[in-house]
Amino acid sequence: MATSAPTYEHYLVIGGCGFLGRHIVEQLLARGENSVSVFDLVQRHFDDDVTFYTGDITFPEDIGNAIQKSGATVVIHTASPIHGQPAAIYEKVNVQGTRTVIQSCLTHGVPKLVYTSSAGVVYNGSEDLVDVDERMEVPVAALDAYNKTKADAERLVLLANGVPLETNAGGNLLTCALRPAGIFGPYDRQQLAGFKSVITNGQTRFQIGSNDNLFDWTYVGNVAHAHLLAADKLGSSVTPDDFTYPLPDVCLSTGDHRVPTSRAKPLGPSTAAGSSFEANEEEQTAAKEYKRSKDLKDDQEADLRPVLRTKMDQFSSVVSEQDPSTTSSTETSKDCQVAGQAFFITNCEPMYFWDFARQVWKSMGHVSPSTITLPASVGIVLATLAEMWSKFSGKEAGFTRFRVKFATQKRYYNAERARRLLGYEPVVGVEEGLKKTMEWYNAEEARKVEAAKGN
Amino acid sequence: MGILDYAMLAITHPSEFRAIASYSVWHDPRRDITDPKEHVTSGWDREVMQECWSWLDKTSRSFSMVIKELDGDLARVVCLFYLVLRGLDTIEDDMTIPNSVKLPLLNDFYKKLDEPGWNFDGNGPSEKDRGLLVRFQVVIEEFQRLDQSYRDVIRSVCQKMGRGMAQFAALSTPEQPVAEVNSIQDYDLYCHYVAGLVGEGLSGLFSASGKERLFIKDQLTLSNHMGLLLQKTNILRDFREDVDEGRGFWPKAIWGKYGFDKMGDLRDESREKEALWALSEMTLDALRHATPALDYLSLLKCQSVFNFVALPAVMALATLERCFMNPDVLKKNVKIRKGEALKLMNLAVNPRDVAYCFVSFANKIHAKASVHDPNFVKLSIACGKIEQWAEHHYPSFVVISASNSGKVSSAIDADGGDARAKLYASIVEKEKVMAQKRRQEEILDTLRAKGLIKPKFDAEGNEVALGKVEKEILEAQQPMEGFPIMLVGAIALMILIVFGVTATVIVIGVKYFAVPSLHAPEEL
Repeated sequence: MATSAPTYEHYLVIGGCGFLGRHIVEQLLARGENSVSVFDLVQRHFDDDVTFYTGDITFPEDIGNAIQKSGATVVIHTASPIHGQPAAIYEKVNVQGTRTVIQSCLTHGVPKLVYTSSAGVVYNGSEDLVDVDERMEVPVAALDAYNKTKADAERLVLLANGVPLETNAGGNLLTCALRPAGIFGPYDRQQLAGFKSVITNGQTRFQIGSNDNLFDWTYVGNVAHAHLLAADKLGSSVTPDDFTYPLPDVCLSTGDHRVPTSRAKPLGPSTAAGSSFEANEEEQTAAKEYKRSKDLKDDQEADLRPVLRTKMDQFSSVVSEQDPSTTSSTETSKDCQVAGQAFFITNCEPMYFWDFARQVWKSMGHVSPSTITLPASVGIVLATLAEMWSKFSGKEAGFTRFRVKFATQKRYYNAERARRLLGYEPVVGVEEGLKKTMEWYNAEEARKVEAAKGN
Repeated sequence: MGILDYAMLAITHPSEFRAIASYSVWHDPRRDITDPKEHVTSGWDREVMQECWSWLDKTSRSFSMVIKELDGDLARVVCLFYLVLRGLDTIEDDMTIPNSVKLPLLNDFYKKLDEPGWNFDGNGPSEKDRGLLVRFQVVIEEFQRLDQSYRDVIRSVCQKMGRGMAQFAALSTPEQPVAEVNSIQDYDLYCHYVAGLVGEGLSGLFSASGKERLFIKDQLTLSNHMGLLLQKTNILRDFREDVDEGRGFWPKAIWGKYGFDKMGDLRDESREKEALWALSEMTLDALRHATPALDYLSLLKCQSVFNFVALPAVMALATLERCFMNPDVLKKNVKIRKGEALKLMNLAVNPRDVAYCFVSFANKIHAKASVHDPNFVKLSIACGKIEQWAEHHYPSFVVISASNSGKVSSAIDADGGDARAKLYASIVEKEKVMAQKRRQEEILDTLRAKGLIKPKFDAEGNEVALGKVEKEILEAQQPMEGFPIMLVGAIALMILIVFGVTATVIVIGVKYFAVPSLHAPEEL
């Protein structure tokens, strides 16, 4: 899956035994890196070629020790507590922990820090997120403790960009933050267990809302890939020209077939040498052209879709700055630099919320024979009542307004910034990613059953 | 349609009845090709061209109207382009012509365009457009009158198409008069020859006419996408008719997956479920071309050209929706009603409305998709892609409204629940302030240039604030602010209250009900 070449930097992956962290470690190894270290609370994976440091992210000496011993030149910080923890834990790990990581990088002279944020930091819990890009501000009142602390930590990381390192070698710290949306994939135990419990509780027949809300699910391998790219490109920038060529269509799941044109097309039937319509020179050239992938940056290529940007477009100003009459400075616009920025990372293939759940259930061997659809507004009223009841009874509400919103709102993002600046393209489509995930899950379940029998 | 049909339509589909009624009463064609003022471009004053126009009516069922409304000489050029290709197609389609005659004829058809007087009466008696080829000399005569730039485009498309058709036709055997299409690549290539090239040709003609920008002729990929969307929709829809006549253009790579050995077996009613999955994969394959088709449409500038391209595109989406998960496709010909077509025609006049028209058909397709369908996930993504395209290029929170005076205005619906709206409202506000500043500067500059005011500087050389007089001058120059269109979202609240009351009744059943406990997926 790794599509990039090794850089032979010294990598330290904080949270490297977690769901995403593990994928990053695997991809680093897969592309041939020879210095990969992991920092985590407990060791869950045992590789010959990975050095492991156990410790607590909030203890400067723990993290400092790992950075020093590993000789890290790139720190990838993916650590974050799992779902359903008290607010104090999130504050401690996400904010304090991240502050410690930043300070340790400065103290020990680590020049590059990539932070895993979350697409949820811009979600205010009430408004739809439709094709949202990085201009969307983090809401003043955060949705919950998790998102608040993720946003705070992201701010700290981005503010630290450009701060001078405190070692003799000098230089500045470069940072960026990635905001993956809806990560799924193998090694994920939390979410899949959640899906499973819906089947166990016999609740799969209920659907809240009309299932017209698109939702970004991102395969974990793509997110890991983006982290590697971010680390590689942290010091780099692009030119305004790089915003003018068309990005390739993402058709990983829907079918990636190049459309033939008279200038680039495969040889047709009956064109073999000696047959009635032996391919002529023009057809031979077109066939060669068809096999050669089209260079989207080639300005001699006439058959490229022009990129149209309205004034609402996030990069319209970058492109218009190209106009020499309006350009006053030669310095690179912030939009063109990787360092100091946050990036949404998606699969670029949003799908309808309940479809994803149904497919997961189907892969678990369950298809609900019928569906009962409740309008979102009814769901909100019911959830309000349920929350009141839970306050009254003292039990935790399983059915909350947040969950209703979560299941009925649109939440998908625009990943153009990552695609233009990091050169990110999803590598595994949602459909293939789902297959891989469920194969892993079903194998794990089968293994558990076997183990239980053995006992 | 008989009077009874109209009465029936008025009851079953009142909006379509209204569309037909208002169309026949109110529709004012954008141009009347028979008008003496138009003769110079329409050629109606020539008997030969009149005959060509009548062939267009006879052979083109759906699009003769939009062709005739094209601006200037484009209408006549596209009419002749259409007739030339219709002639070629009539030779390809006719299974009574032996390959010994058919293949050279297809291959050399483009040469006939420069042979005045040429015609062909070798078609079988039942071939529906055989009459056109019998009188083909009129098309050739008018073709010869076209400007060279147009002739070059038409001839070249005709040459490539004929050769491609011949390559496919050469595969036929006595047992299988029309060879099966195997892979998706073959399917795409076949569609490129019969339809993608039409797209390329039209783009060439649009640019040659000067009605569209020059680069349109080089947009080969998008032109092909457009052609493939239409062609694949027709192939999908015409399943039964084609199979019954011994043809079959659905690629084996698709139906073979569902356990069929021959395409004809999809008619087997006991295997309807599998046949429907094949149909849904065909739909998916056609939908691949939907967003590139929107890309193409968003590049067009000329209204009549836009209408001409957009109508078949929205018709295609309507057809895909009508056919999706519809067992009738396997049994008979499924058609879009004329009223529906007219409704779409009134709608498909700008890229934004076309995009949202696509979205609404995609939503309907998505609503019909079954979780048992092996293509379930892909369909969800394909439909989502169309919505994503529309929301990116034409955000739905920008509300467009047209007033009676014909002025079109847009406003931002900040309370519609779209988080982008507030952000964009602030961008617009900033733009406005900037524009105002620039205007002020310009005014002051002109005043200074005329020597009416003198710039005042403080001790450090900075310009000081404007005096009272200057301010008054500036204020007098400010344009009156228009009234912004107010948007009200209180209805949603009302509905919520009504639902609330209903919901309390249901609440007893809630004990067994809980939402799937999905965790926020960003969390690690």
